[in-house]
Formats: sequence, structure tokens, C-alpha cells
Amino acid sequence: MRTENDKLPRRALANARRQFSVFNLLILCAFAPLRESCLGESARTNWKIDNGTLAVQSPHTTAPGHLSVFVEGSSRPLFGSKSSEKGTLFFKPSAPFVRGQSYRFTIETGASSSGGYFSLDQSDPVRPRVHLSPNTSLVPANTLKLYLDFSEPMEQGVFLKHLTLQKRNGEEVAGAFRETELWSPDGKRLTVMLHPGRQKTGVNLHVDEGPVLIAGEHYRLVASGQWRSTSGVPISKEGVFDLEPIVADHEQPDPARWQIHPPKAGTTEPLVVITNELFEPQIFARALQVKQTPGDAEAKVIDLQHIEWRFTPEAPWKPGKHEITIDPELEDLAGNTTQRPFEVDLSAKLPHPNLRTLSIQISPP
Amino acid sequence: MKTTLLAAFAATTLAAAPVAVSPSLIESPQTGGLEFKSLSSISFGPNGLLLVAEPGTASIVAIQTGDIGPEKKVLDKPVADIGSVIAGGLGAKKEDITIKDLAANPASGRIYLAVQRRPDNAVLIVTVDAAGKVAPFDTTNLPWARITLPGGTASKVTHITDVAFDGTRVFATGTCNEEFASRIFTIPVPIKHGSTANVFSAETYHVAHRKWETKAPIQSFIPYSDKGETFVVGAFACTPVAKFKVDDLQSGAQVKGVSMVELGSGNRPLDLFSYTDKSGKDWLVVHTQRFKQNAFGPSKMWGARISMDYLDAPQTNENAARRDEKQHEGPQGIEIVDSLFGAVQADKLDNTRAIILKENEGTLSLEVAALP
Repeated sequence: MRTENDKLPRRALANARRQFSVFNLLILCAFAPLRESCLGESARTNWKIDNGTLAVQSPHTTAPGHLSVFVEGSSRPLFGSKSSEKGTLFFKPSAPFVRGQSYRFTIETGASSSGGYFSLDQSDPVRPRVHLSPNTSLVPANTLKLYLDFSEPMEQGVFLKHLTLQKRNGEEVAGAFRETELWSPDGKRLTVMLHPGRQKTGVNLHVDEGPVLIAGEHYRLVASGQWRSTSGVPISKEGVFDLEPIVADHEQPDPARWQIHPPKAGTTEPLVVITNELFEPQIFARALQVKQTPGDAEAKVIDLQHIEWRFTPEAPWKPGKHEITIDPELEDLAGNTTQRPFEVDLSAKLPHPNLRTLSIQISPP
Repeated sequence: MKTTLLAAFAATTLAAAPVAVSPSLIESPQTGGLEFKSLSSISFGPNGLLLVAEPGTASIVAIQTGDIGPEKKVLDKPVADIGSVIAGGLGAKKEDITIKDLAANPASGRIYLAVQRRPDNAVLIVTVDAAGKVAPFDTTNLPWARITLPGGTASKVTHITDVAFDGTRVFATGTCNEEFASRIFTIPVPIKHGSTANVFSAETYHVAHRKWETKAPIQSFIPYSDKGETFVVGAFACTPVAKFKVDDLQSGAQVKGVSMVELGSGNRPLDLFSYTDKSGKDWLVVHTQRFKQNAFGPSKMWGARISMDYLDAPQTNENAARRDEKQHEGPQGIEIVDSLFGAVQADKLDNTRAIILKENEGTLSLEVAALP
């Protein structure tokens, strides 16, 4: 099938693409007469892109229906709304024009045919980077969730294509992940949920297919180098993260076993809490709060079994009793909370909930 | 084939005429300026009321579409390779499009699809009419209201799995990227722009391993009323079907579900709807994806219908009815729906038909599926 592009001399096409860079046009001035690429005849057509909308002035028509916009090389017109005002035709695409993509517009009146080409300059490509959180290779064999943190917002809907869990020999672990895709609102954090049906004791998938992770084995979590940011830039170099599962964790986190390092009264020294097991640091940082004390909290992995939480108050500490609250929904890597383990065996005695608050005494200076 | 597709393809929309608001459904409606940053689930209420879940803003948007017939026209033949048609309209390659959900408008027969484009994650709702014509859904002149879920963008709920209307309330279910948790939201009607929802934590019994499934996320649900009581009937991964009584609950409460049916392990429910067959019998349809190849059908994507009698059965939790995935039939009142094999999305159109998005070797077609 012959396309409309075939009608255009190659040199004219090349000139049009070079000359009609949208941002260059905007710098020149709005609706300055432009050299046009002709689709059938030599009528003059002026155009610009403003706020994501194509605006076209044609000497031949003010009928919105005469204007169509295509991705270059495609014969299917883009979805969008058309209108006209004061002799100008407008086309707002239903999904924004994409930077770096070349577009073609046509004005077909029946009696005349004209049009042009445009593209939105691509800003400097920023190559995304990826990290695993928590940054550790030793995880419980019944780990439920890990997190991939990207430096850029990433494309969605393809995580099962781009993320694999591989055994030591490179063989892929089939069905390793829960299929539901969970991104943070900013699109930079993906929750990697290992398939709960395989990770939970007693579920048929666990019995039929086996758990995703086996203690003592060696695995690699691999993020494909083809995974693109929302700007279309791939990671390029695949992200590889070693996982060496250790014994499964079926116990509730026990705050009573955490170390607390109280600060001195009259200072803004940080209050420090050190756990006896791993949590995801960003989540842990938000999960603890000091009652009636505004300030900033941060958490980090300090070794394979400990998270350090540091809280710096806005105002100097007052002497006396202070209380740290713990989000009862805070989960360790295996999904256990302080209130109950991830798996509850109803045939056994129900476990007792652990502490939801920690008290500290800050002595007078 | 290409000619057919082009003929079915609508490039632009005409500005929609202003639509009157039904005061009983939306209060303080907005007009114009409606944009979506993300989409997950869509569904229809009465009188052309479209409910849209926007997980990126942790909100539900109700739109009075004005798409109310009066004549109901149903897709007269399958729309082949609809992924390419939509991708072309978005200036993308077919493989860079995800159809996230499908909703059939029972008032008009028109089909609505929630679409996401890669790599920029731009989203759009498109409509498909009886002739197979695909067009963007133009909200310019439509009344709408947005309800933010408790906590707003600071909410831990980052994925809204389903949304539905039962005639008196809007329900939504959500899950979280930080916890293995399940939430049920209710929104009173009239839906008031700027208001928020009530929230309940949900837990249910997991028939397969005889334990309380404390926090498994509800994948799909329907509101259900029986003897004056209101329930949410939800389906979970691995796959108990449970009902949650949601009358008289205070926001923030925890509600325990009662497991009624287990479809066998290794199933991930995708869509749930109910219908009444020609004999007057009520059925619950669970459209699911199997973890591995189905023993009794051509696809991992399949569906079963469950007699609604099971929702009132005395056998619950550990004694709930349980399908053996290695058996073609049984127990009585649980049957495979052959027309749902291969469907990646499904929604009820009426008591005889569902609309399905069917996948065949990587190509999607939009079709009408007969209900038994």
C-alpha cells in the first residue's frame, strides 16, 4: 500500500524534519511564516505547538474536520479533539505528543492538500539506575516483598517481562512473582512481591510448585537492560542482585528486643533505635514516630540483621518520659507484623501481640 | 483486514453536548478539566454513570456519561486486533499498549476500555460502539465528581483493584505496596465531589490451607444484597470467594469475610459479575487466570459460574464448597463457562451476554460472549 509519505521527495522530507523542530519554531515566533512541506500543492500553512496543542493556520480551510495528525509513517490518525477559532485549527491529542517522535499533519479539503512535519525535541536523556531495597543478599526463604528503587519514573505494565528470578545456573524460576503490579505514586518504586501462593506454607501452589526461594540456594534477581524510563531511555545495563535465602522467618518482630539509645535532654541529638532483624528502610523510617515530637526520621541497613533508625527532633529534647509508637501494620520482609505472624495456624495457640509502643526516659542534663 | 480496521477507526471526537446531572447520583458536580494520571478499574452504575479508579491519586471519579441509549446496540461482530487500532490512535506500537480494564455500559451497549501507553504511562479511556468504531472518551462537557480515598496520596493504598455501584453506595477495593493488606471502601450516594470514603480492613478464611488469611487482597468483587443485608462478595488470589457483611460498620473497622467457595489453588481472579439465566437461576461468574496450563480448556484464562445458592449456604470457611481443579465438573452448581476461555478482560453486558477481550497469540479481539 502506498502511503502519503511516498508522494514526498526524500529531500523535501529531510528538510521539513530539520526545519520544523517545534521548539525552534517557538523560539522564532508564533505563526511566523514557515517553509512548508507540501503534500500535493504549494499553499502556505503556518503552525506551532503550544501547551501540547497543534495550532495550524491554513489559507484553504477553517473546518476542524479537515485536519488530521499522524505519527510519521503511520496511516492511522491520532486520537484527539479538533476545534477552530479565529481562522486557526487546533488539534489536542488524547495522549500527549511524545518527545523525540516525528509527526505529520495533513489538511485535506477535497480541493486542496497541504501539511507539514514536526517533532518535539527530546530533552537530554537520563539513563535510569536501579537498586534493590533493602540492600542485602541474605533474606528469609519465606520473603514476601522486596523493592526495586529506580532513579527515574519507569514504564508500567511490563514488569513481568523485564524482571526475572534466576537460579545459580541461570535457569529462570517460573511464576516467581505475584502478577499484580504495585508502583509507588511517583512511579520510581516497584514492589517485588514473591508469589504468596508459593511462599505460604500449606497452600497448594506451595505444595505443587514448591516455594520460590529455598534456603541455602543462590539466586539472582535480574532487571532487564531493556526496561525503559517514562522518557523512553532504557536502563541499558541490566540490574543484577544476588539473593541467598536463609532460614524462614515466621516470628513477629519484637520491639522489646530492639536497642534504644536515648539522646541527652536540652540537645537535638538523634534518638537511635536499632532492630534485631531487617526491614525495608524507607518503610521503617515512617513506621516509628515519637509522640508529640515533630522531627525527621531516617533509617538504613547497618548490617545483615540490623536497621538503624535515627530521629532528630525539631526542638531540643525535654527531660522526662517519651513514647515511640510503632505502626502495627509494619511488616518485616516475610510479612510478619508486631501484632501477628504472616501465617497463623488456627489449630495452635494464637500468638500474643508484641509491643506497639516503646518508652524512653530522657534524663535532665 | 486493514481496510476493515480503518473503516472502524475514529480519529477524533466531536465535542460532547452538555449532559444533565442526575441529582440522585452526583452532588456538586464539576464540568471540564477532568484528566487522569492513571487508571486501574472502570465500571458502570445506572443511567450511564461511569466509575473510574485512579490509583495514582488514590481516588474514584464518577462521570455522568449521558450514554443512556435509549436504544441498546451491541457489538455486531468482533473487533479484530483492537490493540493495533487503539495503539494507532495513541501514536504507539501495539506492544506498548495495555488495556487495563473493560466496562460494558448496560444502558447503551457501548464498551469502554481503560488504556495505558508506554513508555510514558499516559492513560486514556476509549469507547467502542456497535459498529466497532473506536473513539476517545470525551469528558469535556460531562459532569463529574472525584472522591479521594482516606489518606489521599499519602494513603498506603496504591492499587485500586475494583470499583462497583450497588444502587445505594459505591464500593471499591484496594491494596497496598507496603503491606499485604486488603481494604474495602464505601462511598455514599449522592457522590459528592471532594468528599472521602469510609474504609474497612478485610480479612478472610483461606479454605485451601485452613488458616485465617489475614490480609489477602481482594482482586475483584460485586456488591450483594440478601434479606435486607448488604455484602461485598470478593474473590482472592488462590481463590476463595468470600462475603463480607458491610452494614452497620464504622469507618476504620475490621471486617471478617466468610469463605463460601474455593475454586482450586493456582487461580487469580480477574473479574466477577452476577447474572440470571433463562430459567431464572442466579449465578456468580468468576473470570480467572490459572497459574499454569488449564487441565480442561485451551487457555490459562478461563471462567466458572457458581450458583448463587452457595452465597447463602450453611457450609462456610473450612467446610465451604471446593472445586477440584483436576476434575472437569463439580461440585454441583459450579460449572466451567466455555465462552470465557482466552478472555483477558470480561464484563457482563446483560443476562445473556458478556463482553470479553480475548487474546490469541498476542493479538487482542473484542467480542461478545454468550452466557450459558
